[in-house]
Amino acid sequence: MYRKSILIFTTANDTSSDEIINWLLSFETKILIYRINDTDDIKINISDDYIVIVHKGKGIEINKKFIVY
Amino acid sequence: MHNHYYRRGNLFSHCSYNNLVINNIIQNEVVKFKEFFFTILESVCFILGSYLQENTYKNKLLQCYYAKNVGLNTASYYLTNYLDDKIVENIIVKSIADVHPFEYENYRYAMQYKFLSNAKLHSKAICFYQDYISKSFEIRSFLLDKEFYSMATFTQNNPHSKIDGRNDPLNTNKKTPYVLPVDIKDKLLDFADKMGINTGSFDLLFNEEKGYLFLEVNPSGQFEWLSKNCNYYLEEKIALYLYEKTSQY
Repeated sequence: MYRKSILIFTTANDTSSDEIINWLLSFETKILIYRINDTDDIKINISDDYIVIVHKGKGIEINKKFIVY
Repeated sequence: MHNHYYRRGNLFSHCSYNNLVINNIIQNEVVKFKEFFFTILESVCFILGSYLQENTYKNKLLQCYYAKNVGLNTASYYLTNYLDDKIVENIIVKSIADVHPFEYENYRYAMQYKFLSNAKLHSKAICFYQDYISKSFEIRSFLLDKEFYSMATFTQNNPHSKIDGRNDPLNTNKKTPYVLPVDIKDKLLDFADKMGINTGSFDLLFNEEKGYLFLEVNPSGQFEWLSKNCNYYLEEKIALYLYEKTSQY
């Protein structure tokens, strides 16, 4: 199913980001919001034709060639 | 991915090593990786805020240069590693870059602007000095979708905030919503265009003789206190803006 997605880079203690995400979810509950805090342990895999971030066990598509983890 | 909001923070900021030389090498690798990563990311989706632009233009010298370029007034500044006795009065020493609070030997430090109290420099390092300008009030203005949400703060009569408006430990300075004159708003938009930023927190001051003076912009500056003090509901506006941009895909 087609779902809207937003990637937010922020810090763990940024309360403004908390509020923005709450507002986004109030507009549409099915929106995919990936919040990456600077202290988060993320895995990144990049080759010449794909970029994938693995964050909290979920893959995040960056370009169109998405590798599912 | 449809939409990317670079609010603040970093990738791999927690990667550090005890050996200074090795740490520098690793950090340089990380910096180059981030340049690549955010270049790709910012090219494939709509962005609000930009890691790349922020790291290029979080530089008071470049900001002052572009501010003057679009016709904004700034306080006179000097960049030198030698100060003559004649120009020491009423000068504030600042950092060129943005210095985040840091910890050293169990103490936490934060950068604040100070009057230069001694003509003799203890360091040969080059430093950024700016004329001190007394102000009727300071302005913090948040840019979103070509609109400015501004707040005037009356900092001059408070000895803590007289030099650095952020230094208000008791939170007693009067704050009020403020509307920027159209010509200043247009110049700030020109400035933002030249810097390639579509959001940010601008600091200005108003002096009765000199008018509006640009101080600096922080593309990922705090806006919560501005939003709360002036009932701007900026968090809702940012969320709506992101949502509408996402819906266009």
